[in-house]
Order: sequence, then structure tokens, then C-alpha cells
Amino acid sequence: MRMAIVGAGWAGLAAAVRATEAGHDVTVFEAAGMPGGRARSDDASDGATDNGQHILLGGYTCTLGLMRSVGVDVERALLRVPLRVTYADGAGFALAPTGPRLLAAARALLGARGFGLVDKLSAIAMARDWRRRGFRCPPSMTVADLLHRAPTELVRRRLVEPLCVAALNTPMAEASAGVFLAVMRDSLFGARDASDLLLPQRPLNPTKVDQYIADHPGWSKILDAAGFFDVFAAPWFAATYLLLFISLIGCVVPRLKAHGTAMLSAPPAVPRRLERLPSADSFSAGGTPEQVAAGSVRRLRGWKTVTRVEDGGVVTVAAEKGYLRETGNLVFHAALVVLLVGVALGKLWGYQGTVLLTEGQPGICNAVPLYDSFRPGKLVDGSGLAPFCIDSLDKFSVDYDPDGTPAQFRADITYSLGENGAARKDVLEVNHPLRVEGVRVYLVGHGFAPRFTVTKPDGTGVKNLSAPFLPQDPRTLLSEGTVKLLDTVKPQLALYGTFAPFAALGPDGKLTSLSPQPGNPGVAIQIYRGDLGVDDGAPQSVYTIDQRQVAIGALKQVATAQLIPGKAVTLDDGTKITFDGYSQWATIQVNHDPGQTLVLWAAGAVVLGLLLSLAVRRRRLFLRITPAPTPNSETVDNSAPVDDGARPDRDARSVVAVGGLARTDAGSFGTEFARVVEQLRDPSPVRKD
Amino acid sequence: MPVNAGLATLSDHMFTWSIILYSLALVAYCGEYAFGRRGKVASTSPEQVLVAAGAAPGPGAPAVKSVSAPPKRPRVRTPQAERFGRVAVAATVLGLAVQLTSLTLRGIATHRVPWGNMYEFASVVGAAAVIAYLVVLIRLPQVRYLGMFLLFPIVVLLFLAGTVLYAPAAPLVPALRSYWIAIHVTTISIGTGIFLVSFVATVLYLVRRRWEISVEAGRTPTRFPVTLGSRLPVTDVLDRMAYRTVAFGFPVYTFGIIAGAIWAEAAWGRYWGWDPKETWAFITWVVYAAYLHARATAGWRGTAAARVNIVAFATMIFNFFIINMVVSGLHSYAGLT
Repeated sequence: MRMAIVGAGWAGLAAAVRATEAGHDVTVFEAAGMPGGRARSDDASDGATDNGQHILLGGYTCTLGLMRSVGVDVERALLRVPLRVTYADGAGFALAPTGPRLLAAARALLGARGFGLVDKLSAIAMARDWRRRGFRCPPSMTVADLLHRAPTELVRRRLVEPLCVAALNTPMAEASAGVFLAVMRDSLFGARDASDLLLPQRPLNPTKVDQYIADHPGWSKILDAAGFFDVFAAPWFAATYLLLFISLIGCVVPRLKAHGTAMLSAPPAVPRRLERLPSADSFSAGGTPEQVAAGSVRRLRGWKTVTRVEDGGVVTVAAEKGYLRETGNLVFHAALVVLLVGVALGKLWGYQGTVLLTEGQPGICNAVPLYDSFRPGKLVDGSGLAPFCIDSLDKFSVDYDPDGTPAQFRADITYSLGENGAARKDVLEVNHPLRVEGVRVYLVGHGFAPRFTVTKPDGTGVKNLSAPFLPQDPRTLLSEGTVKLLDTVKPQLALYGTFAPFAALGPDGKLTSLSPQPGNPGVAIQIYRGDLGVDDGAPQSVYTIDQRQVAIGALKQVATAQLIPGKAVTLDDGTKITFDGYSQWATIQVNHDPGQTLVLWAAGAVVLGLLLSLAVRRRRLFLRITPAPTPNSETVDNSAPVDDGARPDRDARSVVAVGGLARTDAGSFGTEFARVVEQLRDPSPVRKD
Repeated sequence: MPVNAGLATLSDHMFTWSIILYSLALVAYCGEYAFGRRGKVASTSPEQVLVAAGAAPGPGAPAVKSVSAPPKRPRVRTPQAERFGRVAVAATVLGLAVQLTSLTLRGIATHRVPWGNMYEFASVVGAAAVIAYLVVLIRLPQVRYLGMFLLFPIVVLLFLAGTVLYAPAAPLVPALRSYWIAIHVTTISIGTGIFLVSFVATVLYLVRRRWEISVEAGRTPTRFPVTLGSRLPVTDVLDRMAYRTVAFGFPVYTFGIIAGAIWAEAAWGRYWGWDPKETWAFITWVVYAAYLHARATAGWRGTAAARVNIVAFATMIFNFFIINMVVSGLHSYAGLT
């Protein structure tokens, strides 16, 4: 085709290059004396004044790609320097070109000169706002509109405006906010998730791991060999917690013995000088030392007491309380070991199976080959799984709040237990799994599966041809997928494209979705005909077509169409493809963890043991009761037997020295000590109950 | 049910007012600090500092010498200090009442418990810390002016919550609509608030300790953070405050993690999946357990244990801010993404 392009600026030249590559005959018309448009060198001079790119950021991958495609050696033609915005008065900031981008951006902002704390905070809030929107905005928004909310005047004038004018060569009031945000995203904030600081983990996100290895080829090999991309499976991690638990057991067992001995043995002997203890008091009581001791022992209910007699008629009482503390401590630590055992049980004999079920289509039984993905424990070989089938997904529905956010997801399923169990119905919701036969069934995802009817020119055809489409945008559920008509007689058909629950046309003419509520479903499909390549035994994704078949010409795109329910497209050979509507699909997950209940009980014991070990205090109380000399008595008859029931001898008096200490956390023992002393002082007889 | 916009706006206004009241309380605490303790107070004179404590029970001598603190100590309080102190406590209590009202209104406006995103969670943590402080105040009235040191990070936290972390009142995503949110998130936020109080007590402990070491060596400290030590309570009181709050908060936090695991089993299919937030909550738990162990170990009592407490709190802050905002995982209910 012969093509004329008006204007030799970046846009015109880029179009010219691409058109020439596509094989067209291109002529470019330019009014100025040299190419370049707004980025050209000065007309009048000898080209020494270059009005070219104010900044060329590393994120301009298309620009750099274009330069490379016309033979420019970008690495040698351009000098790579940190992005620097500086003013004559010394204010400004510099952004390092390499390294984790979020960290570099944060460092640049914190080190920026000439900006106050409020400015920096407002810049952070603005950046956070952009990230929250996914660096997207309505197409007609300008950069000035974008800034109406957040930043201070200084940030607007000295940070955003220079970047906008430099990158887009357009004033803020006219520059496209969408383009500006794209530049910010690619250049300053890295890819969608700028967490180069933390190492991605294979079990969570294998794609990110591969990306990280590609980005940091040098030391990634060492990290990978040392198991840093799957830390929880690494031997050194296992060694850490195994050694910790061995040392834990090694500590608990001797202490258990020591505690047992302590519980069985008597409190220690009473010290000579009780006034040296942290809490000490003394008072005089009526009665002989034995009577006073007996009375005190009765009042010290709950304490373990032992009464000893010393020379000179002195009676001592040693009391101890708070053994529950150590008991709780041992229960806590032992429960941790039991908890680990429960976790191990689950990891060895548990499994997790995930399957995608579409409304109205047959379900699965609990068998390994029927799941879409199955993660078994180490000792699970697939036999002996609980006999249980999900017969079908009857209906999937979403309740929406008035403002359009989902309130609850609901999947109505029919299931049966055992070999020939009766069909039962249940509703799966988020937070309400089905618990049956030792397995738990969860609803974990949902989406749409568009339905088509294909009618061949000879009248035969297939009704209700559908396939699940995977959501690409979690908020609007715009989904992508392929419906394949796998005739054994070629040519086969594949319908590859996007489905929108609430269809609208985007500014680029492409199908987009405004809402996840399927109020206006629509599809945009490319229809391929030929050999899908499913017969050679190699696996291929059900969601896409095999591009190699397209590359070798065995599969050709024959039409494209944008359809709403009821509309059809007719191919050149008379085949009619009608878009009937959609079904919904739900991803169901079946989990089995035999150690779970044990872990729960162990966790309960952990909390209980912890409470006891921190709340109960071990304390000791000592009484040293010496006979006080009374005016009337010459000697005290110590050989008289102790008689509890006897009325205290009015004439005999004793001096009671009390001392106490708390073995841990002495703080509030003082009040308890005072209270106990008050109790001991109390002359009224103790009621026997 | 739609969000009640009027109540939501009122809630936001009351939140702002609570920050203002806490800031006023902060200023009043500074006044009490500045005007109090003129002249020598018995327990802070250098001679007293050198007296070895006889009050250390249990086996093994304590590693640090510190002045024993009898429960009732004579303090020199000037009338201005007393007035400032009373105003400060009144402002704190009033600020707490306003903040709790703000949370309640938010809950009524959204027809759910008011801790469903980072902003609300930070508000609850701040309120829990203030309540913990007031409880400590009832038992140890002489530490009233320490409210200055505690309210400062709380005001910063609430300010960040209202600006950087703010999310408008909205209903919860389906995964959060469960009664477990009242159990798990509540206990975690209360535990965090209590640990915040412990952190402040630990920092003050370290400052006071540095001051006592200088005084023992005969030097008068002149550099700023250390000079604060002259008006702080003795290390024993601060250490005990730090320990007691952790001893109270640790079981609460443990229970919170376990409640989270039980909820995860109902919502996500497994009770523990090493999701980043789960992992870092576990790390925080382990470091606080290390603090409790350190405090009971002969060579680690005192400054070393205090440092462990600081590390534990740092992991908690990391868990709260970085994990919510930077790393993606199942726990991304911050309201920011």
C-alpha cells in the first residue's frame, strides 16, 4: 500500500518505521527544515541547539526499541545518568538509575533539598494515591486535574510540573494524565509490585521468582542454591526450628522432674533474720507458739505449709504457694511441642485439591486425577482419600451492596458422600465452608464462561459451547479465554478473546468492562480456523490458542467480532457463531488436614499455660514464733502437747515475726503480704467449714 | 446497606478532634514535666543512685545495680506542675472519649465493626495504648508525666492514620464479613497498643539507665536525650512497667494470633500458610518471647533485655506498615490497594 505521513516528529517517524517494516511504500511530509518535530534541533543554527527530549527515561521502552530498530546503539549513543531535578538555589533531588526502584524513589524523596516535611509527606500521599489507582485514570483527565487533590504548591511547581513538561513536552493543563501516570509507573515506581527488597518465594509466586532471577542474574544463582527462594523448605531453616525444638524438649524434661520434686517436697527452712526479707513485719499474739502456729496454718489455706520446732520453744511455719506458675510454664512449652507434632501430621498426611466447576456442568469426586491442581502431603499417595463427590455446581451468585461492592459470594452445590450416597445440597460461602467426611470444601474464586452456538452451513452444529474465561482485572472482572470446537474432522474452530460482564468500548475501541455485575454482557472474539494442534500429544493451555500453530500457518484468524447476547457472526464459509450468553464458574477447594484438631487443642493449652505462667507468682511466707515473756509466767511449759481445740491460754503470749518474698516479679507482693499479715493478726477463731 | 455518609463525616471530624485533644494533653504533660521536680528529690540524688538494692529476690544476683523503689516516694511537686498534670490527664481522657466515639460512629455508619482497614486499625491501636496508659496510671500515679513520652508516638500514629493511611468509610469485602473480625482484629490491636506502652517504657528505661551510669561515674550528662534521665523515675519502676505490660499483652497477642489462625481455616482453607503478615506476626511473637526469656536470664536482665524489646517493637511496626503497604498477600485488606 502507498502511504503518506504528514509530520516528521516522533509520532510520524515511528509510524513511518512501523509501516515500512510492514511492507508499505511510505512518503513522509515535513514542513520544517529538518525532522524531529517538537524535538528537533534548531532550524536556523547548524543543529547545535537541540530541542530534543528533555528527559529520556529508562522506562521509555518503546522509544528505545524504536531507536534500536533503526540501528542506533542506545548504550553508546546515550549517557545514562541519575534522574536529577535541580534548581539554581540548590533545591532538587536525584534518583539513582539502578537498584530497587521503590527504595530509590523513597531515598530520592527523603534526600530532596528545598522541600519541607509537609511537602514530602504530601508527595508520598500523592504517589500512594497513584499506586492505589493502579496508575490509571479516565482518558480525558489532564495532569492538572490529577493534582487537584493532593500535593502542596511546592510539590506541584517544583516536582510534578518539571517532570510533566520534561517527559510530555506539554503544560500540565493540557498534558494527558494517563500518559503521565504510565511514565511515572514505568520509570519511578517499577512494575506493579515494587518489592525488590524482599526476595520472592516460589510457593507464593513462581513467576516473580523467575523475573527476579532474570533481573539480578549475578547473585541469584547463589541465592537459589542456598534455598533463599523457598526458605521454608530450605534445610537451614528446618535445622533452625528443629534444633530449637530439640533444645526446648531438652529444657522441659529436666524442669519437669525438678518441678515434680519441688511439688512433693516441703517449703525450705525459715531464715534466722526475717527482717532482712523484702517484706517483713512482726506482731504479738495471744497463745503459746504452738497454738499460734496451729491457728496460722488454719488461716493460711491454700498454701503448702510445714511447721517445725526449734530450740528454745520457737516454732516456725514455712509456707509456699504458686506452684501453678511452673505448671503453666511447662504446659505452655510442652504444648508448643505438641503443636509442632500436629503441624507435621498435617503436612505429611494432608492434601489440598482445587477444581473449577461451571454452573450446570458435571462435578468431580475426591480423586487425584479429577482436580485441576492437587497438592498432596509428603505421605499422601492419592489412595484412601475420603469418599465424597461434588455432583455439580447448581448456581453461583453474588450479592451486591447498593454501591456495587460485593457483599457475599454464594455457590449452591449438590454433593454426595460414600460410594452411592444420597445427593445433598449445601451453600458454600466465603467464611462458611462445607465440613464433611474429614474434608473441608471452600469457595475460593469465581468468573464467567461465555456460551456460544456454532451452526455449520450443512445445518449441524454445537449448542452451548462454552469455556471458562479467566478474570484479568479483579475489580471489573474483564476476562480472557478461548472456546475451542474440537472436531475430529478439520478444520477446527477457536474463539479467543475477552468477555466483559458490563461491556463498554474503551477509548482505543477495545472492549472493556465497567462493573463486575453482569448487567450488559459482551464479548470481543477473534475467530481462528484450522488445526488447533491438540492431536500431537503435547499439552496446551485451555485458555489460549497455541501460537506456534498460527506461526506455521496451520491456524488462521478468519474473523473478529464484538457480540452481545443474541447476536451472531457469519464466517466466509457460512458457519454462524451466535453468542448466547454466559454461565458462571466457581473455583472449589477441598482441604484435608488430619493434624488440625490436635493443633487447635495444643493452641488452647498454649494460651492457658501462658496465662498461668505469667499471672501466678511463686511466693513464700515464713513465720517465726517465739514465746514472749509474760509478767505472770516463770517458765513456759514446752512439753505440754499442742491442743488445737483448747482455748488459747490468756496468759501466754508469743511474738510472731513474719517475712515473705516473691520469687519472681516482686512488685505487687507487698499488698498481698500486708493482707496476709492482717489475716494472721486476726484473733477471732477460724470457722471450720 | 449503604454507608451513612453523615455519620462517617462526623466520625472523621471527631477523629481530628481527638488528635487535637491528645496534642493538648501532650503540651500539658510537657508543662508538668518542665515545672515539676524543682530542687533535689531523694531518689534522684547521686548518692542514692549508688545504693545497692537489697530487694532482688531469687537465685543469682541481679546484673545491674539500681535504686530500690518503695511504693510511695516523696516527690516534690510544684503547684503549676500539679495543675498541668491534672489538665493533661483530663485532656487525655477526653481525647480518648472522643476517639472512641469516632470509632463507634464509624461502626454505625458502615454497619460493621470499626476495624476493617489500616486507618481504623491504627485508631484502635492508639486507643488501646491510651487505655493501657490510664490503667498503669491508676496503679502508679507518680508516672503521670510519662504520658508525654507515650502520647508523642500515639499522636504521630494517629496523624499518619488520618492522612497517609486514611480510607473512606466503606463496607467490608466478603472475606472479612465474619464474627471473627471482632475477636481476631480486636485482640491483635489491643496487644499492639499494650506493646506500644511497653516500648515507650523501655526507651525511657534506657535513657534513665544511661543517665545513672553517667552519674555513677561522677559526670553530669549534658547531651539531650540523656539529660531527660534526671527527671525520670528510677530504672526499677520503668523496667517493671515495661515487663508488666508485655506480660499482660503477650497472652493477648498470642490469643490474637491463634484466633487469626482459626479464622484463616474458615476463610482461606488452612490455619497457617506463611502469608507475609502471618510470618511477621509470628516473628514478632518470637521476639517478645525472647524478651520475656531475656528478662528472666541472669546476664540479660536490664539493658540487653530492653534492646530485645526495642527490636520486637520494630518488627511490629514493620509488620504493620511495610507488610500492609508494600508486600502483597492474602492479608491485603489495608484499604489502600
